[in-house]
Amino acid sequence: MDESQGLTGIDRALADALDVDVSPEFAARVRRRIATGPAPSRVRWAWQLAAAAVAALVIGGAAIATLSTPRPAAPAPQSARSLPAESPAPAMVHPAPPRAAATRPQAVAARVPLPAAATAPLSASAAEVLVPRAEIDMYRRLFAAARTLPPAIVANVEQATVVEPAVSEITIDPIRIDLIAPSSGAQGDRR
Amino acid sequence: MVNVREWAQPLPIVTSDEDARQDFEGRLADSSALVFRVAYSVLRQREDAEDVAQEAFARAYRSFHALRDRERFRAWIVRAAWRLAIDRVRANRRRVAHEQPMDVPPDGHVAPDVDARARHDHLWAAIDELPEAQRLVTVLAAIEGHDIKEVSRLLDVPEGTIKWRLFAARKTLQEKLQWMNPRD
Repeated sequence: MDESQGLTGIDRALADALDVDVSPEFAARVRRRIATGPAPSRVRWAWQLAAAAVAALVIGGAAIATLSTPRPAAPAPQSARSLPAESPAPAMVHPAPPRAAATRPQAVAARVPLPAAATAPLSASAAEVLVPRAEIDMYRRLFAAARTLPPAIVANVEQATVVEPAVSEITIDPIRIDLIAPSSGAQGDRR
Repeated sequence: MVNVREWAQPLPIVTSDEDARQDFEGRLADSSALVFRVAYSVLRQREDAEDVAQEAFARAYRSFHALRDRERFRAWIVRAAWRLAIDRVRANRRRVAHEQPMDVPPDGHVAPDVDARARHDHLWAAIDELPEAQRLVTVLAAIEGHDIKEVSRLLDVPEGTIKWRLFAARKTLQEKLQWMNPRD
């Protein structure tokens, strides 16, 4: 028996095994199951679509109502206050040079606004700069410390005198160029 | 080859629920045997196969309005019945002892006096061991004399793929079921 006949035998056996008929009541049972089951998907989809539309309307209305309500002004932070824009920034305060150490407190006082000046009313055109209270306190402590500092120690560094050695007379030996005699057998022998 | 004219033809327009119901009734009568046999090829029990086929048709009816190309209803419900039957087998595997495949002899040979029932069981055991894709192709090719083109249309798989799967499945079955066709 060749291969094709073998395959035919298996196919025939499988076809025989699958030669089963559905019962005559099959269609009636399907109709009964459909009748007792959930509604067709079109009805379910329509219901779900309506529910989604209602939900979208509710969400949209809530969003519009939220946006149209005026928001209360945010309270000013209690830990910050305004500084005039013209005042020099604290970061621009450089330490005085050592020679001016004796007059540094006065100089710093002149360049950095005092706390009393910071509370002065601002002009309408001046930009407001909000500085945290902690930073203000830090600068206050820095200024106070600067006023009470002892005069800076000025180190007078003497200029080191470097004595350079005197330049002696420079003597350059003349360069001598000796003629090189051609060796025998080289180009000198060629005529 | 695909008939372009056939594709270009407009689908039947269903204007009402009554038309849809009649359309579904026609497809139910047309595909009942096929769907039942597909389920039976997996379950091998009439009651379970009928139950799965009924469930497949009920689900198809619930989604029938959403099915745009109703000419492909047959392919759709065949695949649905196959999946439902596979799920049913997995669910029943623990408690249904007779569905467990019998052991095929390692040498592929069985005593010559084996009866028809044992041959039947060995045949199904060998089919159960096929990969699922090859198994479905083999079953569909054995039902109602489907040719490769019809199986390709039912599974929405190229004909070349169907040919290859069928060839591989038959080769495997031939190796495992040599005793069905002894060489003299």
